[in-house]
Amino acid sequence: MQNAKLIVFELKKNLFNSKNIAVLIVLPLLVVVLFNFAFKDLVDDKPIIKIGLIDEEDTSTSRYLVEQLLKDEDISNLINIETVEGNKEIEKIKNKEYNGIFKIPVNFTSNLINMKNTPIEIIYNKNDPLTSYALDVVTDSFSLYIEEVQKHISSTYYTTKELNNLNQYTEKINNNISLIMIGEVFNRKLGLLKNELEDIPSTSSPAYLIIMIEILILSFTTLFFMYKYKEEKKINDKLKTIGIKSWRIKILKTISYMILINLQIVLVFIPIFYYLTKTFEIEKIIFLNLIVFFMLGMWFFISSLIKKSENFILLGSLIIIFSNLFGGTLFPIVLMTYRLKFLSKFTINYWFGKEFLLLSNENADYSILLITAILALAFYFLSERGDELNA
Amino acid sequence: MLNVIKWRIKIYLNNKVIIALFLIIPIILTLWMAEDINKKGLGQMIVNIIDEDVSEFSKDYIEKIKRDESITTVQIPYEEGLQEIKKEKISAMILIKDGFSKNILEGKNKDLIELVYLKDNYYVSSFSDVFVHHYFSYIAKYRNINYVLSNYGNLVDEEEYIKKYENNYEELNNSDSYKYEFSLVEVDSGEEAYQDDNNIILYRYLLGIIFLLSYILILIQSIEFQNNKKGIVKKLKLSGIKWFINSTGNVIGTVAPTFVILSTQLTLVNLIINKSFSFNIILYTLLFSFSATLITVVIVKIFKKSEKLYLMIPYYILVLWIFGDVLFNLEFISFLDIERNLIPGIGIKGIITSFIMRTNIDILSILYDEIIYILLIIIGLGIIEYKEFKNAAS
Repeated sequence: MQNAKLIVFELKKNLFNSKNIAVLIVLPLLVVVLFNFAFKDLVDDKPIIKIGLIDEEDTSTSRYLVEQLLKDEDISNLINIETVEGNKEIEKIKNKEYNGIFKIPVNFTSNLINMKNTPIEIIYNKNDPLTSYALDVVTDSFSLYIEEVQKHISSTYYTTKELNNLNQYTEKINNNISLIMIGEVFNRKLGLLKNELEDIPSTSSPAYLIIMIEILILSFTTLFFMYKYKEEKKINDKLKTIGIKSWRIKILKTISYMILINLQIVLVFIPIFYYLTKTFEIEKIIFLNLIVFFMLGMWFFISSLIKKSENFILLGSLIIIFSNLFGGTLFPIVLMTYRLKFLSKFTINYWFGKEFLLLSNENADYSILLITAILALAFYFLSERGDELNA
Repeated sequence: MLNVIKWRIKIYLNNKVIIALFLIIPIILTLWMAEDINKKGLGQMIVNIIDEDVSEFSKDYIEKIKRDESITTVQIPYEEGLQEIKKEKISAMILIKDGFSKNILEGKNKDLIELVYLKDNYYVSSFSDVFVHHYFSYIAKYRNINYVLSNYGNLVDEEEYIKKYENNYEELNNSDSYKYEFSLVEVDSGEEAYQDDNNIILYRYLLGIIFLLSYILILIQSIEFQNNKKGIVKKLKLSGIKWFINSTGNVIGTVAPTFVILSTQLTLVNLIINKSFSFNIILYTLLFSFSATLITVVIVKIFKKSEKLYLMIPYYILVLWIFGDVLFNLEFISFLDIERNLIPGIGIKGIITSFIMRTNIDILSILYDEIIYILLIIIGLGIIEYKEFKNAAS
């Protein structure tokens, strides 16, 4: 009965405090909306880059090249190409009408046939990292194909030239082979059968993005509650004088904080997660509660080692910053190199985000769940020892 | 004023652990990432290869994939591979279909390989071309040969033609004359852009961390100063020092060490990753240290209580990271016309751009861009400082 009264008291105290409601509901809502806007390009199904294409050559071969380019499935997934008139290109990019402009120069295809390198011009804003990254990918890939096509066209050209009987047909063969090769470049993907495993979110999915943001919000909210807990030291000491043990206070506080955080999960996280993924299962809420339990335990432990609440908050904030910088929240895991991924494994964000995905894929790694629970309990136990030493 | 600056620098350097932490972390991170930044392309894909064809062609194809630096290969059974994809331990699986070599020899280009991956893994999807490229040469070769032989076969000896073709191709393949590069033009100046930033996203990420940490360092130091100076304002007032001399001294005393730390970091970081930068960037770094200090001092003066300020840090970094456009352009805020440096974080955007572009920076135009922001904050800070001084005296 006494326990229930203490929990209700704690809940009332927090729920009727506008600052707490701001930290619990308003700030997370703002963060989720902001992140959703900032990262929307990465999780959108639509092409992320709009490119204008200017055909300065304007011959039947170049028109064929443009036609094939517009049909290319791989490019259209990443880049939306539109043909545009060839003037004020730079203005069009500055006005954000297009992210970049491809310019097929005069004599491009005829030079290709004649084995001369005429570079395709790309006008773009290098300061726009996503555009420059996507364009780098596309141009690198196309450079390789153009090189390969040129080598094969040239091989045919020299071979037919060397053979007396074919010598007279060299130009005709060269022209036809060039057209065949352009077609072959754009049909190259016919050989690749894509088997996409659906309904399994990856580290580049909206589900992953939103869970990483939620982990960040949970880190902050739990830290905020722990700050409040430290601020209420005098009240807690009084409770101890009437016979309530320190561990019992911690459990009661944990229960109250978890109820409050669940309010946030239900009001902020679940609607947005459902909006983005059209799914949500109860085990995910349970897992989020395990994360909260772990974090509260971790903060209890750290706060037991540091007397000054100011120093505790500073350390807590630094832990949150580094976990988010390296753990895949502020820089997507999918863009990380091996070395960075290795670094991210030292953060809790990485493991929690990964386990959330595994849960979505019905491939839960029980060792992660078990270690989280054991570590959380260990933190609670150690925080008791820390408090005793402090006392 | 010199004494105020000295006193301020002394307080700034008081917390040696924090200074060391914020100075060393970016350097260690750079050493860790240097190889990746200088390498072309982003992360590597781990790919499981299953060869159903088992032919000379398929073996050669596997060898080509293995030689590709952007791919790490494993060879495990199909079912196991499927599970590993679901757990994201591997990125994708390539099945070289039965009939791979036969189809290529016949000039057929359909269903040669199968690529298995998670649908929303845009990384594999965007890079799927790399798997095609490694067999494209065979297709091109046999399409060429088959075209000539089927149309002019009666004029040449088949074996002789193929042999000569292969020799010519080998010769061309060994020469560098067929290297193809696009001509890149950047919009601001219309001049040729630098092409040595192999991994622009990683470089931005690294610079983003450096500037973000410098903001946090200034914040922590300003809070420390706020805690240490209690009662000092009254003493300064009594000693006859004018409020604006005190304020200017405080700002300079914060800007100077921040600038030194930041310049040292940036010089070391760029030395480690073999990148150069112009003298104007040093001036820009000074301007950045100045504007970052101003905004931070105002924030500290408004919120006052150190715990609240420390609690703010996680949300502060989010604002800086997102509004600083460290990785992504925020087009959704452009309708507010706040592209210029009116909010914290935008300073990061400007300085990162200057490092990425490494063209000659027109420092005067940047100063002009930032002047409104700096003036506004100076006025705000002046009002706060004046009131504080006046209150201390009363």
